[in-house]
Order: sequence, then structure tokens, then C-alpha cells
Amino acid sequence: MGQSVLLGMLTQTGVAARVFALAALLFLWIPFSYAAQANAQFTVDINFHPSNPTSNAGLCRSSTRIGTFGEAVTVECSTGRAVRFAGNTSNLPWSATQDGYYRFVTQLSGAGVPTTADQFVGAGTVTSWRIINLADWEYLELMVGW
Amino acid sequence: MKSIQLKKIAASTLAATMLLAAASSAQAASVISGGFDVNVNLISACNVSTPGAMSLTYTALQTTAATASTPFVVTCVSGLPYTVAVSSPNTIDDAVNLSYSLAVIPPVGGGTGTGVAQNYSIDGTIAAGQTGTCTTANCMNTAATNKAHTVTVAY
Repeated sequence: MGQSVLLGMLTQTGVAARVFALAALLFLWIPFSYAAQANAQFTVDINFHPSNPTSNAGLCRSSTRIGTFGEAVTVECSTGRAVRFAGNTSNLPWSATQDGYYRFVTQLSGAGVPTTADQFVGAGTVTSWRIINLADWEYLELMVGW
Repeated sequence: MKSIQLKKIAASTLAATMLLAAASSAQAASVISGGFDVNVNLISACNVSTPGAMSLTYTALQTTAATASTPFVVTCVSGLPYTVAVSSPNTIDDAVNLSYSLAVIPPVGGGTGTGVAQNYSIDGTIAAGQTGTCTTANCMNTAATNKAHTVTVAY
């Protein structure tokens, strides 16, 4: 009986419209029938300690601190003393040392202080210095910290 | 004469009554049966349990990654293929400024339903060497707007 009714409907006017509507329904039904989802939500809770809770020697990192010259430097949070540099990326004529100081070496000669020295004037503290006396040259080594 | 007629009528009535009774008895003994189908339209579906909150503890610039895991189960109609994914698997928490990653374990991307619960977990990792943001001795990311994530089972 269902088939005869359907056949009767198809033979009436508007067959094309009904076929189109049926096709549209099938088109919409098929993709959605395979796109079902089940969802569940959860949270990520972070307990963040900016310094080691078992020690006062917490470490901070800065690249804008005076004396870092754009390098990433790790300092003790409480004292500000530099303990590690990420590397010499500043293209300065000195190099960072692992204890957080810069090592600057300049040649001593009869011509006096090099004229480029003023380009690197800073308010650091000279922590040590020595003169290295080689056969033909003398060098001044400064350890500078900020 | 009249007595004979009455007897004939009584006999006829009795015979008719017996016939009716016999016919009724015969009808009660017959069985009429008919079959029918049970049509079941099984709509495929999956359920996913809600994972518990994932708790990560991190100290600034720590030298090893911090990890945590939270389990959940997926239950799908037997034979139904599905995939499992987690939203925003790489996130920078907007409260403490720590970057972390989330991964569904096992990392098969999904499976096939068996009709019973199948075990999964989400592993979270905060990589080593991060500074984060915190103005006090200890910070929770309670105010983070991106701490909620969604596990999606698509089928």
C-alpha cells in the first residue's frame, strides 16, 4: 500500500518538486548523521611559585635589566645578582661570564685609550682588573658587573 | 394430538440447542495466529565522561617539565568508529603566563566502540625554563579565562 501511494504521488503534478525535496532531505541528513559529537569540559589549574618555596635563592630572568644589553640574564630574585647569561648576543666587545659579570679586555699601547671606548660607557662596578703583560702587548682586563 | 405436537416442538428445540452448543464448542478449540516484526532503529551514539580538573604545580625556571594527567572514559556503540580530541592543546595561561600543552593518551586519535567504557587520559605538560608572571609568593590561575578545555568525541 505504501508503494502504491508513493507511486500515485509521483505520477501527480509536482513530481519534480517532491523528488527535489526528498533529495535535499537526504543530502542534509547524511552528513549530519556522521557528525555527531559528545563533549565534556575540564579545567587546567596551575599552582605557580615564582621562586623556589624551599629556598630564598629564587631565580628571575630579565633582558631589560641594566647591564644585560638585551641578553637574557638570570638573576637572583632577592639580590638581583646575575648568575647566568643566555649568551653573548649583544655584539659587544666583551663577553658574559657564567658568574654573571662581563669580561672586558682592551689593549694598552702608547696611543692611549681607544677612541671607541666612550660608546660603551656604563654605570657598572669594576669587580676586578688586571694587566696582562705579553711579550709584545699589554692588555687591561676588567670584570664589570651591574 | 396437541400433546404430540408439543412433544415434537420440545424435541426440535432440544436438538437445535445441542447443535448450537456443539458448534460453539468446536469454535473454541480453533487457534488463529499471526506473526509480527520487531523493528529496531539503533541511533549510534557515544558518551564521554567528564575529566577531573588537571592540577599542575610549577616553580619559575624549574629545570624539569611539570606534568599531570586526568583520566576519562569513552563509551560508544559497538563497532562505531570515533575520534577523540582536546581543544586548544597548546595554551599560554593568561593568568600566570605559563605555556602548557595537552595531549590525549593513547595518541591514536580515536578508536572503535565496543559498547563498554574505554579508558583515556589527558596529559598536561609545562615545559622547563619558563618565568611566568606572578606578583606574590604564590599564584593560582583562578582568574584565567582560558583554563577550561573541552574533550570532543566525534562519530
